[in-house]
Order: sequence, then structure tokens, then C-alpha cells
Amino acid sequence: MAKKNLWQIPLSRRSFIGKGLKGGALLIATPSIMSDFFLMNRERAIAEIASATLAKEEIEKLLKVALAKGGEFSEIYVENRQSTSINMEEAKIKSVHYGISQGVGIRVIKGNKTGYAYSDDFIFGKLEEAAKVASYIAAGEMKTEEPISISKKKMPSYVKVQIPLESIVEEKKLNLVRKADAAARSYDKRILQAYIQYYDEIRGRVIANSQGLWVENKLPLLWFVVRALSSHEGKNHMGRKRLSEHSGFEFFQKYKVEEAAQEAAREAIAMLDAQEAPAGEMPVVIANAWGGVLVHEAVGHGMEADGVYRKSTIYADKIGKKVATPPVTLIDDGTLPNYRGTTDFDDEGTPGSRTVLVEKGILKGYMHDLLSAKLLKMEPTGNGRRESFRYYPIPRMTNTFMDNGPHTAEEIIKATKKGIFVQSLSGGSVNPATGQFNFDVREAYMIEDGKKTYPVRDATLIGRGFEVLENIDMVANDLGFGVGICGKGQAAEVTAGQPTIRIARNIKVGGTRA
Amino acid sequence: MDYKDLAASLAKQCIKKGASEAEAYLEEGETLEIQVRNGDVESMKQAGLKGVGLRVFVKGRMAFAESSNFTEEALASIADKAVSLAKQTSFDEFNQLPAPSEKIAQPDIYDPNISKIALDEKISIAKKVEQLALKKHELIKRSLGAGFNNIEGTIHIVNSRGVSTSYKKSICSFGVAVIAAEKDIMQPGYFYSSASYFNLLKTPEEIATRAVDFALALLGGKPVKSQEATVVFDRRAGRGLLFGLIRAINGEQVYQKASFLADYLNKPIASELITIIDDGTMDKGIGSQPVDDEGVATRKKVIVDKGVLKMFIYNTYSAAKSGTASTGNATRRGYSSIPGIGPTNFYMENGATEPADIIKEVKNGLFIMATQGGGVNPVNGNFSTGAMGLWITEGKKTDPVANITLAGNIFDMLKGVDAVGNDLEFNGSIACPTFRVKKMIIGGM
Repeated sequence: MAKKNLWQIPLSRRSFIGKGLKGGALLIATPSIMSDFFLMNRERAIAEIASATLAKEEIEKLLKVALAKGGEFSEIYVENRQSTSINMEEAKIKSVHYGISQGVGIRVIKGNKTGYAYSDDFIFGKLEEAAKVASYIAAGEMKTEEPISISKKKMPSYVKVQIPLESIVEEKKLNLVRKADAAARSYDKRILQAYIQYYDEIRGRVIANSQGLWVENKLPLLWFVVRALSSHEGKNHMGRKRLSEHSGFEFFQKYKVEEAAQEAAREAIAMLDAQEAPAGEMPVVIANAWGGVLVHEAVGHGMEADGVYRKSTIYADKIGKKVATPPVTLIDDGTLPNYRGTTDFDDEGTPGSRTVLVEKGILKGYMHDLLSAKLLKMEPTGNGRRESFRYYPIPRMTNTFMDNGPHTAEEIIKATKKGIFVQSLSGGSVNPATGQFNFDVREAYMIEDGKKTYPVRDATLIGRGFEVLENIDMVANDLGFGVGICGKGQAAEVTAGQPTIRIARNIKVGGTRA
Repeated sequence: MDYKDLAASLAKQCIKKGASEAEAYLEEGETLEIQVRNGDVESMKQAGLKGVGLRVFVKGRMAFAESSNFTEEALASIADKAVSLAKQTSFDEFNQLPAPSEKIAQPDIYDPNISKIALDEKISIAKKVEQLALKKHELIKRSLGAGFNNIEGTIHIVNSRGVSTSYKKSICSFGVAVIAAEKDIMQPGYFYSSASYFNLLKTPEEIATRAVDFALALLGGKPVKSQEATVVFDRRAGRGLLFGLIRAINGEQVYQKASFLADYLNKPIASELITIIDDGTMDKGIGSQPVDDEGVATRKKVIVDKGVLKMFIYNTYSAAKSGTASTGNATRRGYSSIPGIGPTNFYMENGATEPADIIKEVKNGLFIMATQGGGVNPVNGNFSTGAMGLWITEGKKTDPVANITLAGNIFDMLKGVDAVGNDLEFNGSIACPTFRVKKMIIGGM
């Protein structure tokens, strides 16, 4: 779900260091120290690597150096990430990938300005240099702020872990991948290829700032994706199913990889019969769960508060105004237990919260980081997130959804004379200044006389967020969530959710049948 | 620390620990990002970056481990880990590392002056382009920001078959984004310049003008009726077609039969007006590098020759699997990823027609200036996207159009190209001139 981020000057796709920066977040591998290859002294070395951190005095000294030129706020962000990734393709375990990423990001804020530097060396001299570099943003000011002594704060915990990932040997993970592969391929002989990806990480964070905050936690994340390619008489379709939570390995008792694989294969086979999609405006019924990309793109990005203080979103200065029909209530909630978008507290140390963005059609609030909350004189909401220590935080979504309504999915389809039923989407993007959004349809069916009929393929759906919101006339009671990766110059793990809804007009289908 | 030596010693360590073949890809560099808004610096980010990725094969089984931490313990642990993990993956006879290339081009891609330019000068470029853009027209109401970025670094690639190569590369860029507004309607416009050399950047005046022109041209765009129409792609929107082709010529997609071009080698896939090149050796090219991300020499390749598909692009693995040779197109998303396949500088060659004439010949059609989302489905060649631009009536650009979709099948699009402009411009590594497609489906009201 890439947002068109017009205020960030895009670097070329070949900016290799930039890719290195992105790659830093894709690290993998828990230190699966149970592997029998390791000798005892290696285990200790890994444990030391895994917990590379800074002492209280070091943190306080860096916070002070960062403010030496006159900033009003400084922050130290320490991150440790270890990850494992397994890829299976063409019925082979193609590769297993293990990664270590550790570093410290130092931020200084003065007014509306941000200075940022980072180092992947935990050598104090280098970190001091980084703190000085970050401090330049405040250069020229006379007053110096004295940082408050930091003290550890206990934070809420919405992520419960039963079976720690560190205790799982690789073989167990490999077995899951093999099981999923077999399940996808055996679904139907027209399944040509299956692609399975397993990814886990443990991300440790220590966050401290000049206001005395000092918090830390360690979160496991799991991500499992099955893609299945069908092929028959020259037609083909890639079906997909994704699973993800911040969770221990008990995740795989809750979510069966074989079922995910069969779901991906089912979609791939069902869409072999797909006809050309029509082109033009028509009612669109969007199924629950991953259909929530609609909410994320059409509305969510427009309610991130950095766009509000820059006045680059159509939702700036609209608190209290009607922005949607009465059945529409939109919420961003960073407290949903174990959800992919829940991290207990954001990457600035603000606890996650349930933020009502739109209530019964009225705009109620925005998603803030510390800076936007300060500039707009509103309360922080725990939406200050960053992809890794190589980025400073900006307002991002967590788990964003439209709440349940009064209808059922069946009622909605029955009430639609002619339209399109969208079962799943692959992603989308938005331009928050114009509200123009698009999303790419994966699985869809025509609705004729209140019934789902034949499948249609490869259409883009477009519209303007505010027009769509003003034309949602039916909302069902089957709220579900899908998992994804949101891009806004840097990646964030999110979920997006909604019940089945109908958009009566002002949404267009980009099919090939005019 | 000599990072080339470090890379070499890491590859050796892996062999000592039991790998049959090993490769170390080490990247180190510096980055600077300046954002300016309303005449003042809004943010500044500066840092050094380094990391190493180890790819090992143990009797044909592959694993990969990477680290941003260069302490002895961390590096020993990833070498250990890579070798131990490799024993658990599947045997694949095509898991091979490349041998050293005989001839390696030396494209000029590093500007030593960028790092010598004072920070204040870079800040003032960003401030200047914003200032110019804001003054250009009364409908330009505010700035979304202007920026200056530069990145430079060194890549070292060493493998156990004798590849041992290093090169330096630099990229700098600046740009601005503004909002045009009239009553309740807003339209952003942005433009940027990127180059490997500082003195090849465009002027702030030109960038400001093009950002403003974009915003003003599209302000108030409305949808048109759904219809079939001729579509002229400007140089920005046209790249969407190239991105779709890039995925379809990917050698891995081809042998997996997941590409709509899989059966079209040496067959015509486009109008004779279309020739497409991939060239990693262009001097000053943003996509240029002397070797690909496995250390195989890059070169200039004709992908589509007057409409005929001549080749696919490969890295070492996919080439071995397909019974051919690597085309020097191994691409990583940085040190922490395994090499996939990607283009270097990838462009459609200039045609003969003036862009103004391409538009003049259109009775009724769309001049598309930006796409949003969608794209080409590499598996079946279907193209669908949101579109913005200007309607063309009797050869003249008229009202702005937005909130419409554009769709078609890529073969129909490519074969339906009946004019290619002579205005190819590189502002990145993927580029095309203006071109016209006879017929596409517009989804509107």
C-alpha cells in the first residue's frame, strides 16, 4: 500500500544505499541458538550481540550533547533486530536468510524542525558525533534546554507471547513452509507454481528522551505468505493469502498454514474463469477484511497529522465537520491484542491508543506523532512510527478500520441490482491533497439482479476519498482485518479492516470493456 | 578498515567453515537528506551506512546472512549461521556463483565533489527552488516542501571463484512540491532532478517551472465519459509501460511461465517504432554500474529491436537454469538482500516525431501526465491504472482530466504505438520519450 508521498523528493530506484536502508528492515533470523552447530562461546557472543544497548549514563550524555546547540527536545532510539526468512519456490527451499540489524538514531526537535543522525556502531565516540550532527538543526539559537534525568517507565502490553520464537529450531519453520507448499499444489492440478514465504523477527527497542522518558520492549513478529499461480488454456491468476501477528510461535496453532495455502489456491482457480471487467462508474460492494485497504488509502492517509499541519490533505481544518455518511465510523487502534499494527507503544514511546477518526460521519480526530501533536496543540495518539533506526518517526497508521454497521453481507448483495463485488485487493495508493485513491482488485465478481455471477479480472478501482465516504449507503456487521505493509517513504506493519460495505456511486472500475 | 579485505576474509571464513562457494557483498556509504519548507530547513538527516551480506553454497544448497554490525563476533556469527542454514535448504544444481568477467566497463558514476560542497550551499538550492516555485503563479498557494539529497558509497564484491571488485557511486537530487488551489480544489505538482554528478543537475528555475506547470495543468481535473480513445503518454506516465515490461522480461518469471512474454522470444511484440535498451555502462547514468550485484560485468543490450523481443534479462542462477548466460542484471535491494533480477538504465529509444506533432494529429484523445496505482500484470499482460492528464480535442490540449482509469492489454498497447517522440529525457534510470497509443479504454462516468 504505497502512498504517493509528494513532499519527499524521490531518489532514483537505483539509489543503492537507499535500498540498503530499506533492506535493513528486512532482516531475519532469531538467534536460533538451539542449532547444534553453535559452540557455547558463540551462544554467548550472539546473546551479547542481540542485546547491544546503552547504559543510562551514556543515554543521558547523548541527550545532552544533542541539545547543546539549543534544541528543545532530543531523543535516543536504540534498535536491535534479528530475523529469519525462508523462501520456497518451485517445490524447493530456495534459501534461508538470517540477519542482524542494530543501531542508534538520535533526533533533535526545535520548533517544527527535525535533525536526525544515526549510527550502526555502538562505539560511544561515534554516537556522540551523531548527536552533534543531529543538533545542527537547532544551530543559531541561544537557549539550551536541560534534559530531565531519565527513569524507566512501565508500559502497557497488548502483545502476549506464549511460545518465544527464540526456542524454535529452524526445522520447525521449514516444515511449516513445506506443508503450505504441498497444500497449495495439491489443491488442483491447474496450480502451476506456489511461492511460500516465512519471516520472523524479534525487534528490541530502547527509547529515551530529554523529557525523562525511558522505555524498552522486545516484540516478536511473524509473517507468512502463500501465493499460488494457476494456469489453464493460456489464462492464469496469482492468488494470495497473508497471515501476520506480533506473536509467539503459538500463532501457527491459531492459523493453519495449509488453510492459508488452500485459500490462495482457491482464489487462483476461481479466477481462471474471469472475464474482462467493465469500465465505468457502478455500485461497488467490497468484502470485509482486506477490503479495508479502501479505508486505509481513501481516508487513513489523509488523517495522518503531518498532512494536517502542512495543509496538504483535504481533511485539514475539518474537525467537527461531516465527511461521511452516518453509518461510517473509522478508528485507528494500536491496542488490539497481538495485531500486526500493535507495538504496545509507538517508536517515540507513546502508548498505543484507540483513536476515533470519524464517528457516525463526523471527523473527530487525527493520528499524531509528538511533533504534529505539538504543532497542532492536540494530544499525541501513539502513531509516531519508524521503519528502523535509520528513519525519524512520522505519523503512521496502526490497525485502521471501519466499524460494524446494521446490515448483513447477504442483504447488501441482494439489494444491489447491478454492480461489482470485490472479494480481495492487492493494494492501493492515495494522493491526500486531491483525495484521489486507487486500489488494485485481485478477486471480483459481477453482481446481477442481487446475485454474484461471473468473475472479472484485473481492474483498478478509483475514486476520491471524500466522494466515496459520502456514498457508502450500506455497512454490514462482519468486521474483519487484513495484514499488510504500508509505504510512506518508509515501511510500517499494519492491518486494515472493514465489514462488507456498499459504495453506491462515484467509484469507477478500470476494466477493458467500455 | 579496508572493507575490500574484510569482504575477502569473510568469504574465506565461510569456505573454512565448510561452504563450497561463498560470496561477500559489502556496501558502505553516506547519506544526506535535507527538507526545506516555507523558506526554512524543516529536517535534516545525515548518516553513514554499512552492511555486509554473505551468500554461501554448501554442495549446491544456499543460505544468506547479513549484518550491519561489523564486530568480530557478529561477523563470525553470520558466517557460522550462513553455513549451518545452507545445510537445511534444498539442493539446486543451478546454485552457482559467477566467475570473474574478462572485460569490465568503467562508467563514470562517481562525483568526488558532492561531498565537498558545503551543507549551506545544498540547503540554499532547496530554498531557492521552493522560492521560485511559490512566486511563479498566484494560484500556487503553498509549498509541500523542497529537498536536496545525496548518497554516495562504495560497493565491494568478493567471491570464492575469483570475483574481486570494488566501485564507487554517487547520486544527488533536488526537487520541490507545491499545491495549486482554487476555491476548494487542490492540486499538487512536483518535479525533481537527479544526477550522478552535481553539475549535471538541472537548474532550480527549470525544476520550479515544471512543478508549477504540472499543478496548474491538472488543477480542477474532472472525469470524462467511459470510451475508447487515443492516448498520448508523456515521459512521466510512459514509464509505467516500461515498469510492466521490466517484470515480464525477468528471466525468473519467464522460466516459471509467470510472464506474458515467456513464449515471445524473437517474435514481434510491439510496433516497429519501439526499440528498448538496457545499458549499465552509460557514463553518468544513474542506473550504471561496472558490474552487477554479483560482480558480473554490465553491458549495453537491445531488449526490443524495432518491435521484436530479442532477449530476457538474467542473473547467474536464472541464466544457469535457462541454459544461457547471465546478462549482468543481478540486482539487490541493498546488502541485506539476495540478488534478484533488475534493469540498469532501461529506456525506449528516441523516435523521429516532434512531441507537438504527436498531439496535433489527435482528433479526440487523452494526454496522460500521471498514473496512479495499478500497472501491468506481468503474468497476463493486463494493464489498468488510475490516470490524470489533459483532454486533446482537434490536436489541442484542453481541459484537465482526472478520476478516470485507463486499461488495455499490453500487446494491444505496444502494437498500437503509432508515434514515438524525439524527446527522451533521463531523470533517473528508467526513461522514455513521449509516445502515442492508437486505442485504449478509458473508464469514466
